[in-house]
Amino acid sequence: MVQTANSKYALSIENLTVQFGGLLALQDVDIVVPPGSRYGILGPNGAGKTTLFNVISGFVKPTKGRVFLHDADISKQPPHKRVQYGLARTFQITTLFSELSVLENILMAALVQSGTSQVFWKPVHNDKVAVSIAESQLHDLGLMHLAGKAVNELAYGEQRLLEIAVALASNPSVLLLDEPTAGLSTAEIKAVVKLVTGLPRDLTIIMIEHDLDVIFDVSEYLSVLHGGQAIAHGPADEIRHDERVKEVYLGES
Amino acid sequence: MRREKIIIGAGIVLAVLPFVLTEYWLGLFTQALIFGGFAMGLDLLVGYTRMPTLGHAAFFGLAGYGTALAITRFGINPWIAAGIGVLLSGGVAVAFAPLAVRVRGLTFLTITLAFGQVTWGLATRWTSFTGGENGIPSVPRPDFIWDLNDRTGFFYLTLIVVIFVSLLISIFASSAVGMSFMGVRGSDTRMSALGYNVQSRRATAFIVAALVAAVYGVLSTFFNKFVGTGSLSWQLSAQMLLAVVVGGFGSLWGPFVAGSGLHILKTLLIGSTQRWPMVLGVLYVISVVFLPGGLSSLVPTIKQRMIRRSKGKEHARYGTNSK
Amino acid sequence: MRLWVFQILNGLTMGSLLFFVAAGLSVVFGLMRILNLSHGAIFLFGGFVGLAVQKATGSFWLAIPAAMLAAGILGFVIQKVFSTTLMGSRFNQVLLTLGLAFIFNNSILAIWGGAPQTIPAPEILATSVKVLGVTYPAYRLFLIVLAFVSGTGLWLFWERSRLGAIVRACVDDRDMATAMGIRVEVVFATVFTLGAAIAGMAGVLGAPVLGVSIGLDFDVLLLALVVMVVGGVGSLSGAFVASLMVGLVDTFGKALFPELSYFTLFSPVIIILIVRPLGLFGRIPPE
Ligand SMILES: Nc1ncnc2c1ncn2[C@@H]1O[C@H](COP(=O)(O)OP(=O)(O)OP(=O)(O)O)[C@@H](O)[C@H]1O
Ligand SMILES: [Mg+2]
Repeated sequence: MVQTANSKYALSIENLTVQFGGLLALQDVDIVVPPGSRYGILGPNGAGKTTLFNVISGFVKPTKGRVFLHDADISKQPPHKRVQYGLARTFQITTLFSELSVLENILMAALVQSGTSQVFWKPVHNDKVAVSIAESQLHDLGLMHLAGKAVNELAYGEQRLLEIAVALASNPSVLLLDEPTAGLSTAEIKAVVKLVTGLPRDLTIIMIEHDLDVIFDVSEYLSVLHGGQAIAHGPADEIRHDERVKEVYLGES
Repeated sequence: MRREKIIIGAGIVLAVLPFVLTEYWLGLFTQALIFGGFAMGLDLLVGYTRMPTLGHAAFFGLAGYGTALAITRFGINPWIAAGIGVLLSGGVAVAFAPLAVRVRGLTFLTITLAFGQVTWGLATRWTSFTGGENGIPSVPRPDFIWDLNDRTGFFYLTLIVVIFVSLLISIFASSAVGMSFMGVRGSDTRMSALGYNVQSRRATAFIVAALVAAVYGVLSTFFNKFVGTGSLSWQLSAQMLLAVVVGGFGSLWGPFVAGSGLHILKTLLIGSTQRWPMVLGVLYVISVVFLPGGLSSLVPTIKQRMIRRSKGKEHARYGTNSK
Repeated sequence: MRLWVFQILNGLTMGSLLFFVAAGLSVVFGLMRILNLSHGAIFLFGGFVGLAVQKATGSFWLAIPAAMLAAGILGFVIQKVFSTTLMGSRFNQVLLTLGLAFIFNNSILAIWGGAPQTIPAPEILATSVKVLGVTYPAYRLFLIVLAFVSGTGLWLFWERSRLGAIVRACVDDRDMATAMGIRVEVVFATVFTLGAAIAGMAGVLGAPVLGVSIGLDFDVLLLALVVMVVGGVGSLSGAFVASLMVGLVDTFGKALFPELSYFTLFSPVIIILIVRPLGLFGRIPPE
């Protein structure tokens, strides 16, 4: 993992434009995220939030613009290489390995960290380093009781937690969370917020979220996207009172 | 480790076959082991990684042709020729896999089918070199500690190879790489987000399955003392794909059993009728419509049923106790 | 020079026949995302039904509607009986229709036997015509002209007619089409049936050139698959261009390098697909 502790920004996005056919999904977006911060992305449906994450993680090639992680230009890297720069993400639609157990889901990420993902000559469960990374991850998040369960036996709320746990097992320095609380009950939302707020402070977290209580609870900075454009940036408290933001998103209607 | 023990146990049981079977049946079982092993290797590609191919007979046949040509045309020692055959197949797979895995689904199916037909076409049309429709007869078997020209002798060689390769496959399947194949099947976006190079994992599955096919292709050529265009045909690819489906994706033993069983069935049926394609077709339809999980899915079902039944009994007992 | 013209015409003939087979396969895939590997067997079935009718009545022109009807019915029945599996995973479609292909193949063998047969070209076309300095069978020229005419016709239908618009709406967005009140299942059943009927027609049309014999079903299927993915699934113009390309490459490969003919045909195909996975004119990922 490439760690530049003294870099000014954990993540910076320059002049990003993404065009899908005739549709401008993102237009000249600039975002900078200070290291260790909790950064929220707000915006109505179709604003381009997920597309922004897809570009950062390398799944969508931007029409224009660049992405830096700790001052390294990762714009040209394929998704799997970006993990080595310390990037991890979750998906808006839960993307777990439904046929594998909870532990194995985490193990998949841990193997990359232990450098043993290429091992083909011994059973994966005998890989003490990777298994202990995975187990301590589950332990830290208080999910150890689920370790042996199959993913499709989990409640939806537990799956969303596991989705985050898997991303964390990649030992990222920058974590992207795409609507981690979507579709959850109040109690489940609380569990997610508790998990996220309990994460180490040197981890930079960027979170897309529709639930305003959650986003103002968690994030220190916000960017608001609307129709592919970043219409406001700033400390959460300022954004809360920004007139334009109120108009287009908080939609006092 | 449990699976490896079962493989060794099954191997020991099978070792008694020469004492109980006639020459004919022993020969049939030898071939059945070969095709079972082929299907087991294919399970890594089709079952674990979910990449349906209609061209893997190409690697089975190429290795057979490579070996037979090296011996009969160039007078090379059969053991070295066997190595050449496997290397030929493996080399072609290494060259082809990175290209093939760039496409998916229907295009992958078509590309593998087309690739298989290229090899079949060469063997069929390039008569001066490959013998065309007549194939290559009189391929001698190699010398060994014991006599391989004897049915029993060849059976034991086959059994040893099958046990060895199956153990390798079994360990491979449970390794980090094997689990990553399942990950690719589940979600390749997630896999790349975790830092896996999905294309190279897919290519690896393709090559490993090709190598397994190659080893058995050589064995098959030695067994028959002959290699023909049938070993490269799409029908063989389709039969092996069916074996994986009927056996059950990703169980390894299921495809092995189904691959062996299909070969025995085919041999017995071809003797009496021309109805093999019909049987194959009906099996396809039945297994897709009625048994989507394959043979291997029956075992957990039976197990679950037994568990349920014993739980039922417990309830009944507790019921009477509480009265 | 003469030889070249001759081979080009042969290539176009082959391409024209391929177009009839591939158009059905491609539209069914584009519309319903159903890969029908029994399409080649339906083609051959049409050919044999046509042969039987032609033998009984002596009329080539009667053989065509008969084959279309029989193949259409077969397609309709497949669609009805296996609709759940067909609408399910791609993997299951492949296995199911491959199984059906084997069953049809073997049934045809049981009913009509394995000896290669042929349907003679209809009488008015059983002559030769001089074109571009070579004498060429009129029937083959007729096939080429027919392919161009029906290709244009189909294209106009597809792009311009109301029915075409409905079908395209279903291709592009199934849910939207349903919301607009189009009965998507009916459109699907119709298209599947029509695709099969066209394959049956191609079986008869092709018979005077390719004959009717066991094994042809698979050869034709493979070529049609290739045409479909090279052209881009669901694209009629793609299927047309790719048919002619494959027909020409196949014919020239066989003429120039008979020993390497499969190689000369499929290597370019594999390369095209690797460079352009969506095919030449494709918009839909063929997954
Ligand atoms: N791969 C793609 N191809 C074409 N259009 C796309 C693609 N991905 C996204 N879009 C379009 O880009 C726009 C932005 O989508 P995006 O998923 O980024 O929105 P979002 O802000 O995440 O919305 P939501 O809150 O609903 O998740 C939408 O109009 C969407 O339809
Ligand atoms: Mg989104």
